[in-house]
Amino acid sequence: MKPILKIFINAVVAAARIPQLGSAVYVCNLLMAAVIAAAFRAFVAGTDSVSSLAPLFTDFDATLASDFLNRHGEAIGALARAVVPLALLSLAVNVILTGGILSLLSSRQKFSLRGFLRGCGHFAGRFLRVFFLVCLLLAAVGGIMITIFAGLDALLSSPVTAETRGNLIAAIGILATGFMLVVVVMVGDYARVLTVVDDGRSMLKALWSSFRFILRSAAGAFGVQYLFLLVNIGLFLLYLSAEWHTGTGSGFLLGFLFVVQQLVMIARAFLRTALFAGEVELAALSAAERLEAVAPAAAGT
Amino acid sequence: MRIPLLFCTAILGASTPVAAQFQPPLSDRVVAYRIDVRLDEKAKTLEGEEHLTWRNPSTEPVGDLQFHLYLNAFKNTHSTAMKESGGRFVRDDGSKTGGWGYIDVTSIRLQDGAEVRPLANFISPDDSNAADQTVLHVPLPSPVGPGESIGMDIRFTARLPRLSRRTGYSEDFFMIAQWFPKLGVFEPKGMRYAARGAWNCHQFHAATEFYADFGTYDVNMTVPQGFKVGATGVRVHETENSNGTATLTYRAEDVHDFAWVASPRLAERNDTWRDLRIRLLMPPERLFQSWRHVQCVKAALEYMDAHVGRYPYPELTIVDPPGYAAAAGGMEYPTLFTTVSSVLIPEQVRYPELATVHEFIHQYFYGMVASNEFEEAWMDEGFTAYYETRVMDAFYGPKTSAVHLLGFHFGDFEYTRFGYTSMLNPRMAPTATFAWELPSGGGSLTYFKTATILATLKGLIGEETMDSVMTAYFRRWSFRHPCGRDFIAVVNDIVPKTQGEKFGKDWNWFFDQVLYGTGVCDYELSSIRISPVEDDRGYVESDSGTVLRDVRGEVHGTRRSEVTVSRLGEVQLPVEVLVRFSDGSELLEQWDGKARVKVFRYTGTSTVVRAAVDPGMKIPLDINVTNNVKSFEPSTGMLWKYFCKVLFWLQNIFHAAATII
Ligand SMILES: [Zn+2]
Repeated sequence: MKPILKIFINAVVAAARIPQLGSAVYVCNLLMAAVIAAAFRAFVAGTDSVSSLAPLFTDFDATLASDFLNRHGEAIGALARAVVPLALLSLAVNVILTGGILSLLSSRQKFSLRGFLRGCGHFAGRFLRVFFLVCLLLAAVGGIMITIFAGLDALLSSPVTAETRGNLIAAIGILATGFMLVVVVMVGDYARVLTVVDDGRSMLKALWSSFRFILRSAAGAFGVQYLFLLVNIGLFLLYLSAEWHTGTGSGFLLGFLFVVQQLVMIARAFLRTALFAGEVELAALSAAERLEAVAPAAAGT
Repeated sequence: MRIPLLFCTAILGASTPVAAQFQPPLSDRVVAYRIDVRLDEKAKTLEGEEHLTWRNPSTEPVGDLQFHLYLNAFKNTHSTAMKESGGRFVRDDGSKTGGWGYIDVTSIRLQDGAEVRPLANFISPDDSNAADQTVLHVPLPSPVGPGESIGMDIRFTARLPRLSRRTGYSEDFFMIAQWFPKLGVFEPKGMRYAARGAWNCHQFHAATEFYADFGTYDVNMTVPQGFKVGATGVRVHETENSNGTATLTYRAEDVHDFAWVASPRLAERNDTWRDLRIRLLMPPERLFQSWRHVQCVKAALEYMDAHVGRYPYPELTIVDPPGYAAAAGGMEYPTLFTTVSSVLIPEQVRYPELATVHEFIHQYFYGMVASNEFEEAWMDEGFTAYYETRVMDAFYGPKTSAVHLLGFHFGDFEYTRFGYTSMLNPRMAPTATFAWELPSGGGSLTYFKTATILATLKGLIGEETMDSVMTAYFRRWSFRHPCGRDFIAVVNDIVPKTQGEKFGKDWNWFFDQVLYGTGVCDYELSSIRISPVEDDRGYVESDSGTVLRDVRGEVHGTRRSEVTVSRLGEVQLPVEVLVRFSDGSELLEQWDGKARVKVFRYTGTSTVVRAAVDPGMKIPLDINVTNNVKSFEPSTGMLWKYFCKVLFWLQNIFHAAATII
């Protein structure tokens, strides 16, 4: 088993070698987010409050913000509700893009738009099925975990110990549920990777194979997953710190912050692609190891 | 039945060998209670014997007594409080059963031995609900003369209800309040709104608090050994009994109620501020954050001392009820209050501080000023909310005192004002409405609108004058049960002395609108218009006589600016308008705020580039401050900032969703 760090580096290199993949993810999300952001900006600019709100440029002001929401809450609510269909559309687009990304990564071909789109189209139906199955699994696992820990809480804690033992059970419950949900996400990811490698048709089977693969290669699979998770969290904290220290108050600072924000989003998109690359590599390595294990045995007979 | 005052004093003196805390007394001490009470923690019952002395403070004979029996509010679904709350205990979802409570007065024996309990009957002065048993009317065989006193021994048993907002038990935590037969207030003619001497003794309501007379309390509480007890007043004695119980004796002077807390699961932290002993009772698991309560209550003591008056009592008990007794949290009693907190609330979210400061400030307006909380709840809750915002904003920062977390922040006054401005119907009723008659949601008028009214008053008269008003009000009316009219009289007295009559001879015009009226205040900077200045035309006078000049033309380099300000609400308040010109100069205009529209006109080489109504936010009652500014200066910075924010967070949401699934 290659060290996890090496898989991580290889994955990042692989993602960087085909920058079009990360860019596609970034641009799709950007476009959809920009629709709402632009609508929001246009709405605020069109209200008679725009001059009063000018001080919000330098710092948040709860009085201005709350009076604005009192007055325009319905319109802002309608805009917020518009996020839901766009988020669903974004999900669907991302699911479809994954087909193109994984097919290019696993075939190690150079980027061609036609190849990418072919990959997207070829796996779209199957990946959408994986998407729905993963949604169901997430809901089921989440529900089971909540039930288990609610039961444990009822069994082991009482109103008198709610703030001590009860909180501890809740904290363990949140961590355990989070862990289990990450497992489901990984099952979904590897199901797609294996589908691309095998061109399999049954997604239930793919999920089952994926689950077995994760059990078999637990150290590598979890290692890669959590390393990427840590890098993402680190990136986010870095951004918060940058925003904290930069503040706003001048056009230059705002421009700088915008650039930082978009660099963060580009990095996140590339990390997403790199995670796929890492998963592809891990799956390939595992397959190779199994072949090696089978080959000598076959040679011996 | 009349007995000399000396006789009562002798009785009390014999049983309470305690040095007086206040000499001379702070209050008129109309009542003296001496109570022995035993708590049965398993049966959740109290058994009490009360010796009560009442002095007739009026100039007319009084032939009856009226007692609050507030535990009967929890007796059944027929009580007025239960009807008002839809048959639910306060802070209850209504799903639980059981937990009913009551108080049964078994005997009222006057000092001459006459038993008057059989003569007593329940009355319902507020709503004629015959089934309500929260006010007991006791006719006396002979009236009590002016200035005379009457003494009596009362026996009662009580079952505590499941913990609701103000009283009851939860597991092993007992919040014992409104638990003994407590006299109402006999208001002599001329006091508050009394046209003739009469008892003011309201029923227990779901949404109102209390009103009782000042006096002394000597209370012996017998509880299981190991129970920690916090109570009104100071502990003067403690004995362990052979039957596994302990008896704690407390004395309280110049208070109008007595409440206590008992539980075996309370840890204690003691602190001091000047000569004051601060006693903090809280669950042991929260002790690590006890400093938060201590820090903010000291800040509040300091601030109130400097801006309103002195907290005179020797002790202050703060109770932070455990989570399972959270329904006891956030309630004030004399020299004792309950606050709210949790181990999960981070330091940057100052809800525990806010609750502690709020309940402490009640010691002034509920505890010492002691207005009638049934009829004029705004005088207690509103004034308390106002000073809560002042203390919190002064100590933790005006824009950060409530929450200051990860760049997001808002101040306590901002939060309080929002409580008013976000009301679905801010015109629903006058603030000065009997609190139990307010429609649902009317509590926002009592708390938040009143606090915003006082902040507006401060904005108009200045902080120094406001402090003069409040110190005078506190000095004149502490321990005297003032009414709204009395507060306004103080304003009318103090403000003209410091501000002259620029706002008029009195401030009735202000309170008539904002307190007794239902209108809202909303000023708008409607428009700025710039137009060229044309040459004079028509028959004009010149050196050569009257000539006709009729050629249209503009005066070169001169422009006319028109700033239009509108009054959109009903409330009329004097307001400032700040006008900025293109040459950078500024002009602060004063407007009486009465007309529906006011136009300010300027002619000159520089034009108006920005105008703001109420630029210093002196009128926080203005229900919408986002229509207060018009400007030719662009707001693009703000627009792009929020574009970037919305864009970035949506990108993150979309990306995270795609990553997870
Ligand atoms: Zn309050």
